[in-house]
Amino acid sequence: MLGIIKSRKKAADSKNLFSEQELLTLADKVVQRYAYTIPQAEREDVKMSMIEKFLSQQDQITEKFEGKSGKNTYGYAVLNRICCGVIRKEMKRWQNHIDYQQDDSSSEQNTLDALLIKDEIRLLAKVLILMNDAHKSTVFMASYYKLSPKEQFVSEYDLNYIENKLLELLHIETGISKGEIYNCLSKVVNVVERKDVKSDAVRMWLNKQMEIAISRLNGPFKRASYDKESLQVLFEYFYMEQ
Amino acid sequence: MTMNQMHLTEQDIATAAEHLSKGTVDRLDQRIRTHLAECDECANEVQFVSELNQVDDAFINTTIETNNKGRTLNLRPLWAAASILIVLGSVYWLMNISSPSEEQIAEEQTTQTTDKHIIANNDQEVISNKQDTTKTVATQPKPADKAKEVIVNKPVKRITLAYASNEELEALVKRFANNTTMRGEAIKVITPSTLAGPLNKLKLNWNNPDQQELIIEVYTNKGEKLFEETTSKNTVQLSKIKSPGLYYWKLIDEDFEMIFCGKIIVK
Repeated sequence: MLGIIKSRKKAADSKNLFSEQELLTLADKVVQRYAYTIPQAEREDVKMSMIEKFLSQQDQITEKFEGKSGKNTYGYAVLNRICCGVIRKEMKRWQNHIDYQQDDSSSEQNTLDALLIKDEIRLLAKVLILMNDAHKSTVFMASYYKLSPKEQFVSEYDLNYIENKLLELLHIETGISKGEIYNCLSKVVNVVERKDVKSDAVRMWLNKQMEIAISRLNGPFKRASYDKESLQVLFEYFYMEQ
Repeated sequence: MTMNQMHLTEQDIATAAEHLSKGTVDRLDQRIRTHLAECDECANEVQFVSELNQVDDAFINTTIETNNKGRTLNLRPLWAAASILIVLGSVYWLMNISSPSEEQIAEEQTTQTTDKHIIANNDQEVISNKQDTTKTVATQPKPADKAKEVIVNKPVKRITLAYASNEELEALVKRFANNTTMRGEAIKVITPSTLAGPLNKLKLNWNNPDQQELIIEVYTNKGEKLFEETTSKNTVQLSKIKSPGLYYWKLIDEDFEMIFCGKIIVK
């Protein structure tokens, strides 16, 4: 592993990290991913702006490459950050322009229609992994949405799930109220984490986790307009795929 | 995150993105993991870069050293894909040259999902088709078909399938989507082409100035008629829909001409 890192670093040090063509290709892909925000007419300018900034900092960028990732991935990370800077700077000017229309998918159905479900499921998986208490969030959200507990998630949350009879505790009947769900979940927390939390604390924590998930799904510059309802639908798709 | 806390470097973002793409986040440095759990901005960057990687044709980040120390390639994803293809190809070839043996049936079982009901159903399908090897070996039950077999005992699967769209009805909805006065000029549909809302709170509306007898048909997303109502009023309540899912509705006039077709998403 160390060998790979060292060899990547050495290759980078010996010359410019990217050729002009490579840089153009990477920048193009980054800009395309922000197509929902950058007006069509501005995309070429944004791309050129990104490349200009990249080239002006090329030496530092090359120096900071430690070889811990592939150079393309590093390139994406750098260009993405530059692109976000350009968008923040230009956004106001674009919004003032009479023709500017960001795709405002405010309804759940528009959100789901406009975006590929498969890609969104993959994105949700990533959002959940990166959150604090990722496994707990997945398990608790499943229970909140009254989905049957799955061993693969429950076991990741608690290795002693069999002894603690978590599968039974997490099994939520369809008829029960949200309040009763939080009661069940607080019992689970108290058993697994040996705490003494009340259902209110669990409710606040879970709401916070769902807000974080929604915020991260929507991304910067309003990539999508997820809300609690559409999060539930997406989560169900995600959960079924696992 | 406070203003004093720095964001991750681009190198950290790239490293995290690769781990995320490969599913090895647990091997990521704890410092980075903690930061990503707390910082939306960096988490979004990592997700974004990870997505770019996954659609990138050049995701196999090759680093070829042209010096005498040789090459360092990271072709693991290619090897994995090639191995899978070889295995699948071998299985298909073996299945084609002979009738399925118990081992092949067992192999088929293990390549299915871990859902026990589905495996049990698949068993039955293979055994019952044992005499017809072409059907047995060539037909892989589609996930939707397999899921339908267990739908009665699996409310979890039912939730996802409940929202799957029906191709034929979708085409009808699209046709009427931009023109709410297709036929029956006197009748104007007010309900949007896609109506979404919670159970027991949905209703369909239109203007029926002449109080014509209208037929409202509601279908499940499988194309099965759920119920039919006749009315001369301007509205109908959808109280007969009892579970969340995707439904379609048709408005038909007294000449049995379809005036409108829309869809209903019940949350």
